[in-house]
Amino acid sequence: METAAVPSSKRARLGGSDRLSDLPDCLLHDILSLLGCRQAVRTSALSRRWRQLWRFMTCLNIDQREFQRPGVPPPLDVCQWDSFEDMADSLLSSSITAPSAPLDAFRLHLVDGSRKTAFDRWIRRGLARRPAAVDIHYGCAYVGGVCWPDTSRLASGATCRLTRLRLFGVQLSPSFGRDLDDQCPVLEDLHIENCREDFCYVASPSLKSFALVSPSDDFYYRCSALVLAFPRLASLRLVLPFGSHRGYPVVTSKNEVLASLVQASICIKDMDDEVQRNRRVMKPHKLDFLKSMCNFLACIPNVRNLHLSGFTTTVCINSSSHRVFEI
Amino acid sequence: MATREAGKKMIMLKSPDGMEFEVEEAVAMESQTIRKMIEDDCADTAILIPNINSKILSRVIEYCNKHVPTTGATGAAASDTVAPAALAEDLKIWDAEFIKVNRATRFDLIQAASYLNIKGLLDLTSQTTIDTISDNSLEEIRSFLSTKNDYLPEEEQTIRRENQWAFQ
Repeated sequence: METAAVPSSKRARLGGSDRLSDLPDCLLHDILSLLGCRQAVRTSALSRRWRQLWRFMTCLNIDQREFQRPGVPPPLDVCQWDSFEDMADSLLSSSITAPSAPLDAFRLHLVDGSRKTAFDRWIRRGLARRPAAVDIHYGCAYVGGVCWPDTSRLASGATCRLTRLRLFGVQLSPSFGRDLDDQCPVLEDLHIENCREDFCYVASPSLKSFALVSPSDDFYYRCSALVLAFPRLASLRLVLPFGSHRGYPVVTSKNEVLASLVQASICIKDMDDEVQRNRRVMKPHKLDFLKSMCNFLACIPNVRNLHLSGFTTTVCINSSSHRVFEI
Repeated sequence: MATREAGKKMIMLKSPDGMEFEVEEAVAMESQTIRKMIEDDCADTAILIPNINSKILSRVIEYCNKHVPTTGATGAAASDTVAPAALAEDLKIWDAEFIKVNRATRFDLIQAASYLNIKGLLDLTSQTTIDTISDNSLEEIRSFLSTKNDYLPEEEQTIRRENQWAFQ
């Protein structure tokens, strides 16, 4: 630490303005980790001081948007695709970056899935670096382009440090929920949005925060209700579409109470069109869904901060015991 | 240790240029480094903070004062009851104002945040630095950082060839 002691001559030599290069390596590794990988690797050409720093980044941000021209929407052109693939291949090959050091975070952000490429392999390789946080965002029109791997088959301990998992647009296999329980012993924060959810049961002994935003654009449904087993859950967010024909609610395992839950936001979205909605006869599926969600509210008695939307008035009155109540 | 208000322990922090800052223990413990000293009972009288001058130290204390979890009358953390989103938004605006400093001060703050182990301040200062260099050309970054290109032309060519995808 030389904050106060940098001699004035040194300041002058450096132009007196900026001393980023003077910071210790470990700080620069962390700062570089905030950049996308392409930008971080470009710093190797700044000066000798910067040549190897990027190899020790503590986070890998593999982001397709770095290869887009500003303001030009996907798809990427051939050159951009080639460069992007080369980047992911080289950064995720074990020889180029420090392979022994576990990552703080691994992020993969995809906006164009038009080329059949090795997304799943990159995810496996990223997980092999034992990241503490993983964020996979697949924002492409083609659904199912990225699958979450079967973690029980990965190198041992790949997900043993994982505390935070965010998945957007990812295909999740039927074994996903059970794998979390077995393979992710310290997971605290799970966010699933717009994913193809083929699992009906999800459990984690350590999870504190859970968000599930089910896709509503193609009105895709799970095969049945989703059973949650999160004994330590403190915060919950659900966005669930439903309609006359199908609608699969969320229930707790064995209808047990989520005793530690203090904050919940539940939004149900009626996907029926105006004509269907105005029919006098309520479709049984719809009624079952609403009843089941009402039962779910009874399983969260200790919630102090509750936000509900999309519920009918009848449902609200039933749960008037909650202290904070917003509709 | 001095005690000013009932129940609020005070800690004395000293900068190497001789200035003394009396702060609440809870505020000082925003720094994991100081927290460890207090917990290990190494902080009986005053804590000397080496290598962080009084100008920077006072800014750091200002940051910690703002970010210390607010406590209600009962002493319980109030963040559960106050709308957390509004509180976070307020802090974000405050942070944006706080970090409007010249580059030299910002790097002093990075080093201080690192030494004192204050994660929020380190993230804020690092992110601000990154925001100013991302999306610029190498020449612009060099000039911004006052970094001299000490590569031989052929060396720089080699580096660009090694990871051609980054420079296209």
